[in-house]
Amino acid sequence: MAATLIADGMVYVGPDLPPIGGWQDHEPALIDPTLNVSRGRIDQASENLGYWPSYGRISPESRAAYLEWLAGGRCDPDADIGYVFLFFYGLERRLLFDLRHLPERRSEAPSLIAEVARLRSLYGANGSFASYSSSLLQIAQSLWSDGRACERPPSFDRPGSELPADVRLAVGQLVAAGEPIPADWALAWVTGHPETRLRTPARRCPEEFRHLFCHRYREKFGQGMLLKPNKRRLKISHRPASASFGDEVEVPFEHIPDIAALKVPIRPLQEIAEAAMSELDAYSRLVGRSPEKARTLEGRALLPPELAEVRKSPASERLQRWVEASLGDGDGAAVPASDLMAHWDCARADRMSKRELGSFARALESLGFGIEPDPRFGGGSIREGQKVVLFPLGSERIAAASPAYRASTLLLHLAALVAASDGSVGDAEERHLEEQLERSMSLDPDEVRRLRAHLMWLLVEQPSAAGIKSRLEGVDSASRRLLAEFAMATAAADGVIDRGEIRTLTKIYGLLGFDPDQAYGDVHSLQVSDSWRPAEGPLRVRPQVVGPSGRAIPEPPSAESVPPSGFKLDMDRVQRTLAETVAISQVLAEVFEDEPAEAGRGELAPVTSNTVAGLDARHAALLLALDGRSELSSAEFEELAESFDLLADGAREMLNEAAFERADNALLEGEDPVEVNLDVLSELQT
Amino acid sequence: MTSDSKIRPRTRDAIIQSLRAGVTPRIGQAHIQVGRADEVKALIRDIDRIGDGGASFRLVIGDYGSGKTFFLNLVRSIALQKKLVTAHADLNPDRRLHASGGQARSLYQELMRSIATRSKPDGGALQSVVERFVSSARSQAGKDGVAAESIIRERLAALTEMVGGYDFAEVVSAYWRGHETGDDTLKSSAVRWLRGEFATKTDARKALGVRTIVDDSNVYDHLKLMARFVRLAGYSGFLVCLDEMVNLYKLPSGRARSANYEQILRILNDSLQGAAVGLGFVLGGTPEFLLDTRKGLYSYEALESRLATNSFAQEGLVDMTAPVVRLANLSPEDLYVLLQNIRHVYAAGDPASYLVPDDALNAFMKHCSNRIGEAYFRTPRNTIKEFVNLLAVLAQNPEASWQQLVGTVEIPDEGNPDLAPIEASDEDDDGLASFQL
Repeated sequence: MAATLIADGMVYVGPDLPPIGGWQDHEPALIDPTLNVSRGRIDQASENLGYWPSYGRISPESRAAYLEWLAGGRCDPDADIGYVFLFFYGLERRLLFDLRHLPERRSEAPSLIAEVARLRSLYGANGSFASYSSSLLQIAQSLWSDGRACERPPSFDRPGSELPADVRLAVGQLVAAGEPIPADWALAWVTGHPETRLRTPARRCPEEFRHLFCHRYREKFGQGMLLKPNKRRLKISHRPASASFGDEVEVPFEHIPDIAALKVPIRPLQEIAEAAMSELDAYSRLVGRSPEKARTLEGRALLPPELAEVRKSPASERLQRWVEASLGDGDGAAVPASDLMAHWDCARADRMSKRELGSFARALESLGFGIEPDPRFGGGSIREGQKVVLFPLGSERIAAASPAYRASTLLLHLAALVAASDGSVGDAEERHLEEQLERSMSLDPDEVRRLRAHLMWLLVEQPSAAGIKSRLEGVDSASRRLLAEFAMATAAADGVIDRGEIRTLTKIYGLLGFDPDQAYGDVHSLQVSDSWRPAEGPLRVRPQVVGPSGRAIPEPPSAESVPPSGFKLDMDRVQRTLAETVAISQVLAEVFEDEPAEAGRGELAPVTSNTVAGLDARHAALLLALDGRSELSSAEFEELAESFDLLADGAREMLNEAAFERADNALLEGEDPVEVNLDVLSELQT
Repeated sequence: MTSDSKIRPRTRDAIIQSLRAGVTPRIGQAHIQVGRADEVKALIRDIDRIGDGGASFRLVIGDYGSGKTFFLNLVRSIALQKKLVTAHADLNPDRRLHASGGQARSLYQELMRSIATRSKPDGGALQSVVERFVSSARSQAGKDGVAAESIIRERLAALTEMVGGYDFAEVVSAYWRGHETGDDTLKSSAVRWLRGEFATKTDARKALGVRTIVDDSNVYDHLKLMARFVRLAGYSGFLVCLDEMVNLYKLPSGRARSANYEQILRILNDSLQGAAVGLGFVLGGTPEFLLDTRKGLYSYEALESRLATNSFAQEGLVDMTAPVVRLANLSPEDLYVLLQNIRHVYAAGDPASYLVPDDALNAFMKHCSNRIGEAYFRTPRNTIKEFVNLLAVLAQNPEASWQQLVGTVEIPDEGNPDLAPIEASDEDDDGLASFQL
């Protein structure tokens, strides 16, 4: 045939073959050997092929090119798509026309279908050809394949704006038979559905998407969705590429419902698909950014747990073993950040950025462990030399911090600052913090677990106050007041508020927006509260008064804190105060009472003699000289004293001292005039 | 305090006058003291220890209005009663524990002016102390038949080993010589020297023949000498009360502050180590004076560690031997009992003469609460003042009803002078009393 050998046929050859329909005179795929074929020039570029090529109408040069392509085994990748179509016309005619009228030649079908598939894979880059060839494959398979369509794997091609024929046929068959729709066909249905919008994650990570969809689908429908057959019957149509047909080819299936018309069942499938795509968003973005990371621990960390589960890698197993070894049986373990970084590919050797730590935390989470600090729960980057805390997660995972959790971490952070500011965190302080933690009743169990780890981290790492200020924004003033009180109570937990703690407290007051100086007053108020009273004897200690009398830090003095109308006395307290007052007044009465007469225990006891009131001769004489006078000027008194060769002021001291001892009262009072207490005088003179 | 014991008119008048003037009474505090049994007992123990030749150091810390000054005055009167000599002064920018511009000497002068004995509780008793010493030496000399001066020298010999002690003994002897020779100039020079009133050594040398004077650098040494001396004169010991310590806290210069705190540390150490004999200090200050870690005593680490609560007194156990006594602000209930006490004092201790019933106290407090809110008990000075005024009106107008009068009482609000900038402090020896709105 024009000296060209065509190896395996599949072409129509002859002088005449009428088209199936349409407007053309001849079957376009027919190779008429009587027509000229150029020997020298070959129209490789198919310059004059035209849009609807037909062997009869193309130029001899083009015919030469076509024949050469055929002879070359129909596989030249550079061949013009026009020649491929020319050949494809023949396949279409054979599959959709000849075989339907020649049942005895049906055995040809599989090899023809295979040829279509082969061409499609070779020339599928051409959109038009891909679409025609897919459509032909679909209809041909539904026509000629043995067995039920649902037993074949779905194709997942989305050739056009319609639900692919294989899906319609396979699902239709299952519905007709009352069988559940397996996950992969459900997926083919939903992805092939014209109203389904497949976002990037589904396209970029088809494998993961398929896996996740099937997983979720089985979770929801078990064996599969069961549908009642609908009325409309399935017709599979194909718009042939060949002009020979002239019209659409339609193949009716009398016993199979057309599920393409169904709207209700597709919705849950779309929901599952949408959810699966959302779950893959983070992973998909990573793969988009750095495709090489898809298979790393980091990539795995971004996968939903179901996928991560099946994607165990040596790296993830190493990580798991390390975490388990670090934790032992404990609730949490502090480990050096550098150990952590050895398990992760960090941009910098000495530092793990917030983002990197976040992915690491997710990777750990997929293994069932948590880490503090965790950027998703308010943590930041970590550095070599720091420590982090690992802890086992519960079954309920929280993905974001609740306001209650955020407040609790803030509280603990402030408290840890205070507790650590005396240089070390004492047992009492640690217990106080843990009790606070236990009281965080509004938290989920998982949050409590995380909070405990957070506390462990705070105590181990003792982070600074940096960053607290921004976290405090949006905390209302009542809560700030509570935070301040809690910080104060923490400082006092060990019974000592030292200088470091006070400094931290003033800092915290400042951070909280209070006057730092107010801290001093509050510390003082706490120290004089009933629970912190001084003891009564030397080194005597007594148990704290627990109960209603143990007060929290009083509100700072402010006019509005006690409404004027709320005046009311606590009469019990009045009674207590009265009792204490009576007690102390008795003590004082003893002090101000006269001491026994022999109380002259000073180094200079009055000279013992038989003179008046234990006074020496001169003073006794002065005392006697006062006789009868109730008042004398200071000059007179001085003169009188000097007449006895006494110093006036000294004499006065001596006389009064004697008077206090004998009569519990002063003899001489006032400066000028000097008053003489006559009662005392007479008592002294007896 | 509602005991039936009568209160002497002189004491009653002194208390009432002080309260009406808005200052704390200098005598008779025992009659109006409310509660604070532990604190008072602790200070009584201190005073007993001083009387036994020991030493003590207390910081009385309380907010404005918590009654620090009242407490200090009460302690002082207890000390007098127990035969101690007391001295007291308010610190202010011109009176400090340590200075180089004469401010420490100025504090010393103020303390010496305020020296009080049981016989002269209102101060000015320095000369009495000296004369008592001299008198007793003289009567001893008379008995032994030796010269008084030799007994004086013998007794003062113990002082000469101490810093400044030699000249101190010289000056006391000079006083005696002045008396003996009728040289009043010498006597008054000796007293002036003891009061720290000599500004230059030259003057002191000319007047008394001594080489040293009391100056900024030896104020504390002289207080220690004085403590020994009062015991030699027959008193039990010497109690120094310093109030308004917050003025040290307010010193703008960090160096000046820490020099003063160093002086406090020295005093504290001496008292803890028994290096001072018969000497006690009571220092009154506000919480920030103690606690401020930048400017307060806590800024001085050595002090902080000595003043901090006993760290073994944990788990709610407390140790009262620590040097800090903390005063809580008055509660309304405390004030109520205080008003009862004032009523009692006003009636000179006779319940039959009470001018108003308990209901009136309640009504009065309620009225104050409505007028000035919490301040009526937190800073009770004006409340007490107006209450005494109310009693005075009722006493002079027996026909008036308290029900009507209570509603007419005006309570001026008062500010906290501790918060005033340092320039606002004045020279008055009671900064609180002079504060007015």
